[in-house]
Amino acid sequence: MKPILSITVAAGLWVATCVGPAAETAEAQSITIDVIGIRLPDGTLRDGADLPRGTAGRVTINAEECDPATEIEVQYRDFPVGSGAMFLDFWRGDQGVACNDTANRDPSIGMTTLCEEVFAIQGPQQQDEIVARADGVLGDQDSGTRAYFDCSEDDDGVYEFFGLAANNEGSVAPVTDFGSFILQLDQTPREAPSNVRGGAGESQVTVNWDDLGGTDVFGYNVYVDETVTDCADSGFAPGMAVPDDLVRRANTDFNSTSATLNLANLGLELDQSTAVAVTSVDFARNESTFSEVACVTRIATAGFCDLHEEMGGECEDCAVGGSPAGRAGLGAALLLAAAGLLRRRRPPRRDRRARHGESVR
Amino acid sequence: MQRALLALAGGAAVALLGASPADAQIDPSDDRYEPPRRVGSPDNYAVELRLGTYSPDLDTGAFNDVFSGDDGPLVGAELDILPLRIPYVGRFGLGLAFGWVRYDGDALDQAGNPTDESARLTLFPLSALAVLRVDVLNRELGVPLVFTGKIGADGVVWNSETGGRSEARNISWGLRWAGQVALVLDFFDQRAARRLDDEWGINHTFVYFEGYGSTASTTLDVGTDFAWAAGLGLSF
Repeated sequence: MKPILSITVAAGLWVATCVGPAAETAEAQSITIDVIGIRLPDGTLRDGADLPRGTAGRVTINAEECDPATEIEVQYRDFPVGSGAMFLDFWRGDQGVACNDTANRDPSIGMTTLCEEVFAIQGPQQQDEIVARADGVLGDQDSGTRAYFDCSEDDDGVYEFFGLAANNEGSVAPVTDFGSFILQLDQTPREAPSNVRGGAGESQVTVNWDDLGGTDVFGYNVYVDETVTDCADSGFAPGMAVPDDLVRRANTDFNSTSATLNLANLGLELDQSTAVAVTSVDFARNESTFSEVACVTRIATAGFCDLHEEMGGECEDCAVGGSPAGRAGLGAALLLAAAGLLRRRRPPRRDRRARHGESVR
Repeated sequence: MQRALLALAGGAAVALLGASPADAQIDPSDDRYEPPRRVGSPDNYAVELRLGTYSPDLDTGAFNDVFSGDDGPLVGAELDILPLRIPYVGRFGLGLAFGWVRYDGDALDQAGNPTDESARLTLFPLSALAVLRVDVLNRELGVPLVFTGKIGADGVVWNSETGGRSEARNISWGLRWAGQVALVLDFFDQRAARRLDDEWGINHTFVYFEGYGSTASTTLDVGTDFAWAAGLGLSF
């Protein structure tokens, strides 16, 4: 039996962002349904404000969230109290399928239905009435509670849920009041970036990699094996999952394919090396496994002044207090201030010509 | 008595009619007519913005080895205060200039090969110059060219960094010279130029090309035998 989606509905008059598009063939929606968040086993709520990612108006749940979550919490408002509707009846269809349309629910019309009734809750008698809670929504199979998604990878997809004000559960009668929201399950990370290159330096080194391409890249994380002083001894390996206790050393957004590491902060002495690996993060915040491993080495280097002096030139360091850059900034500031003070507005041309004795027409 | 009455009548007529020899207007078609000459606002200051190249003439090959011949560009500005007018020559006064240029490259390992560590040299030239702006061609003959000569003290603040940490920094002193030719843009729209002067006191706008050099070398040889810059300026 296919797991059934259970939704816990929180009543109240909270104002939240309306999530979910109008169905293409839908009447005007009158019930607003918003996803508040995801309830985790320890009782905490992962705020729904953190859940819309990537596509606007869409709540996306990743692998890290799906598996432990016990339920999704939604809130609704403007239920037609007094209309005779007794239930808020939830149906699910693929994105773009209007489950408020009778034709998509009634098996007697057409060969198959495009929507599936998943759950119903009793509608409130007053706008602020607290609705009875239902069972869990996502995963927690061990508890024996019903759940629509078991958080396997084949659950990934975009789903549109319609809440219909109906007289009974599973009703296929026409409805006039309904609301909807879109939920996406994305538990599949992107692949790890390729062509990761390390390098050598004395103070810092820049790690580079190739851009993954595509649209579903939120950013990249860079990890360093700080337990070794020889890159060959590192336990990092391509395809390895990121250890839970490993702290990333750098992260970039999707626009950047390089990160600079401070070698002294990594605990490396001269002629010591270590391993680095890079992961990708998609918009649902799924993180890939490690990329191929590259090495970074701390070596003695010569900058411009070092080299210039080695060649017999002079590169005398400042012995006077104050930053040369500060003096330059002061010079620029004085220049601009002088220009500002000297600028003045001229009187109208007519008056000026009169002052100089010319005839004024 | 009769003469007195006639004189009185004549005076009254003159008063009534408002005629006066001093009020006689010369017909513009008359050869003697000279149109009133427009008097512009005082023209004592000038501001220039510039962009150009700058390559320090270091006496070792370190600059080319690390920065691979990078030559800027240099961005800068200058304010000229020109209180003295030399008739039929131009204006003379003091100029204060500021610039910025940065060179990026790679630090080298012990074998002289580039590493992945960055190396950077930043220069901030500051100059105090005597400025002679020869605008007689533009002013007297309507030829929109202005020639400027500059000479004075040059202090170049420099900062060398490797791997994000400062290696050394200081200021080098020397002499700066410059020669400039500017094209005054008033001729494109004389009316707009006059309006700019009347409302904002901006006498002229110009574009220019300038060649210059510096001998700044007291702590690091950051002067240059020759560099050039071009930009936009205005006098007010």
